[in-house]
Amino acid sequence: MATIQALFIGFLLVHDVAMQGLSPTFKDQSQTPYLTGCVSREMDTFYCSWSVGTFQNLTEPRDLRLFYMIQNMNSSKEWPECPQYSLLRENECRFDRKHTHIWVPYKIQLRSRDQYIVYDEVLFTVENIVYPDPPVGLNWTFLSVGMTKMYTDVVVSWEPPPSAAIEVGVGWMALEYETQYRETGSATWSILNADQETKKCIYGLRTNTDYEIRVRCKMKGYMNFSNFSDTLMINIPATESRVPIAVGFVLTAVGFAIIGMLVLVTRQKKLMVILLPPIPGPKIRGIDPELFQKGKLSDLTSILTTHAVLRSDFYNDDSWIEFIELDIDKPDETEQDLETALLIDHSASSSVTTHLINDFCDDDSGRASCCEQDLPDPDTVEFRNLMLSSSSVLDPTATPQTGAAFQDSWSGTPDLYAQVRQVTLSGEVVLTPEEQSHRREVINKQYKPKTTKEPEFLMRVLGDSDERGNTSEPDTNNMSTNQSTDRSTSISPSSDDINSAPRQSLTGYQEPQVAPATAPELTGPPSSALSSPPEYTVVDGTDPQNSLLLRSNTPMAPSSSHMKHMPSPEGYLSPDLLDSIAF
Amino acid sequence: MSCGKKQVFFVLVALGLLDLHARVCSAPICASGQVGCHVLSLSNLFDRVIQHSARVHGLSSHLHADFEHNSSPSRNHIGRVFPRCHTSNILTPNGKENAQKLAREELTEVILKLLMAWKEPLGQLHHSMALERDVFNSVNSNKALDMRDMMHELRKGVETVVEKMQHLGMISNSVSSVASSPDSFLSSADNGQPQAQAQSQAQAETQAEALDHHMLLFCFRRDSNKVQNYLKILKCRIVPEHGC
Repeated sequence: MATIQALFIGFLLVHDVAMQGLSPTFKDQSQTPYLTGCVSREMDTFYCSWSVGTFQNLTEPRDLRLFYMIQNMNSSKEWPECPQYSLLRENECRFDRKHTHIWVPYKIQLRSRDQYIVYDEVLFTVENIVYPDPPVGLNWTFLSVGMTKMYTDVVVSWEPPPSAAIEVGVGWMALEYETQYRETGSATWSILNADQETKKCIYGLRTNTDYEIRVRCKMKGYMNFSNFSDTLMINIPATESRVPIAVGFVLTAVGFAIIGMLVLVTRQKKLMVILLPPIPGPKIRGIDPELFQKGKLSDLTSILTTHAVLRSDFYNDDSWIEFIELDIDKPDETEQDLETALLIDHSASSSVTTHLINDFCDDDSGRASCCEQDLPDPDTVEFRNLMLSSSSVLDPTATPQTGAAFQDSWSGTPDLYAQVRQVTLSGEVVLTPEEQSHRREVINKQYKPKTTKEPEFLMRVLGDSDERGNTSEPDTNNMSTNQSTDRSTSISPSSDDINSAPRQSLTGYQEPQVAPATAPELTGPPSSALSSPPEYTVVDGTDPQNSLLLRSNTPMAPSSSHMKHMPSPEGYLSPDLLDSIAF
Repeated sequence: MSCGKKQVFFVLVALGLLDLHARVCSAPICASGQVGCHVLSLSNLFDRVIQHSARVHGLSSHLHADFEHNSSPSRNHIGRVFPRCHTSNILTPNGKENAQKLAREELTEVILKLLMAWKEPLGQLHHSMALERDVFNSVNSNKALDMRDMMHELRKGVETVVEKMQHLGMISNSVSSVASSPDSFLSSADNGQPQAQAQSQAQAETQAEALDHHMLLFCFRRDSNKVQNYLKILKCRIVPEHGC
């Protein structure tokens, strides 16, 4: 026990001594003189001060001397002494403007009189020891007050420190000011952002309350703040009482409560509508939402189908064409799929047709971007649907499509046309069945583009023995159909003879030009299956304006050499003849 | 609308837009007498340049403070070493009075020299800061990049101001765009303090990079302050206003 106590006491003593050793030297008995610091107020001059410490025998003015050395200058062994010891204060050395060099490292030494002892030394550059004086002349002005007279805003203004007034004016010193304020009695100060203006707006001060405001400054880009300025006391009295506003709020609340009570208690719809009008619902033109709620399905579907907006989506011409043309743009894939034969010699016709095709349409797949020069819309729809169908319209396995469509103006007989009812997803064109079927023909010409890089669409021509002769791709399926059947379309293995007339009429888009030029058909069916001669013409070629040159029935055609082979204007062309016809 | 017409139309529109764009982008400096051209006064130009130099100095101070904060706390005042900067051989006025006594042309030349001297080192500073991830985070290396760009803009601004001053005849045309080759800042060594040299030699290899950064940041902070203050003095001399 005694040892423990002794150990404890010994530990305390050691601790005490150790603490004494670590404690700062301020309260030591023998405190050597030291430099308290060097300060500049305006970055033009500075002064250094020191303390004698606890040495009692250094009371003479020059017992301690200050020497300085400017780095990078002629570093001689002899350090110059302080240029001027301060007159007003003791233990201070002032460096005037001549001896102050900014941006240059200074070394200051505190030495004894005989310079043998160096008590202290500091190293600094002047711009880093700039501590400005605090700003002066704090003043405030009233800015505004809120409606409730509870909160107010003021503007506080001040002057830069007078010791640095010139430097601040010149711009040598760029000062930043920081404003702080607090309610009298509060412990913490609210700090506002520092900026370079000599005024600051303080918002949200309460009326009838004491506030304290103070400002301090520092050089912009440096970290040494000045002392705080004198504290400014403000108190803004509220002139009006706040009763009316509160009463207004209370009354409004009471009014709302009364209305709410009325509505709830009486539950009258009229009252509710007047006081709380319902939110109007969306209005769709032509559609009555009531119908949705209690209408019948048939009514609904009829409305939907007949509605203009919806219908146009269904029967939008562009979508048809776009859709079809997309298929056509890939001729390589569709080529293999096609089972119908190519019934025209592509070498002969490709030049013409592709020429025509190129002029017909661009790379754009939409109809809107294509040049459709003169075609009226409904006819074009049918026509194009036939012409541009890439996949097997004429596929024998396809659903029965019985019609073919010429332009009305070509033949003049509406019976020759079939309306395309639908284009399936696979690209097949579904035609509506036609009552009079003896004149049906499908005119679909398919051109394999050989010379061009842009096969815009493929057209197929079917159904003729003539055409068979021209096919470069004999497709067994269709060829047999062609051969076996009476030149009818392969898609309609019916007994309709579509004749072997030279129906290589290119479906031109210059239909008005074509129409007047067409004479009555050149060819008629070889057999008498057709009741009336078909009105077809043979296209001889295209002229420079990309219009089709159709051969008239009279034997006055450019290729008159071939014409003489024709038995008659209304005869048909034999395969041999057809071969020799140049497009 | 035909395809051809549409194409032509679009091409024309595109050309028109291009032309407009070219005209907007290549707007030249206002020739005298040009109508509708807003000419900046010399005072405005000076204000802008001074504002820009203040920004540069603020950024350099931040970087230096960050570096001091992050680096080893052994840098107290006693053992502190003030590096010798690569711009130390440029004679600069070391006080307000000296700067005010200097001739306009000389002051302008000093400013330009300082700006040119920092062209290359700032780029290298950014690179070396980016390499040292442990000392500098990405924020600081981005700040170094900003500093480099801002100094470039400041240089351009000061050159514009000098041109304008020459144009207005305020300074003689002897102030050429100083394309001084900056002294190789890598070869500057600490001198004047024996203990500093011993210290640097002892720690040279291990703290070479850090020392370079410290020196660069310290020197750049000092030089940016110089540039800012010289510009202010020059403005007061050229465009006299109240308070100068």
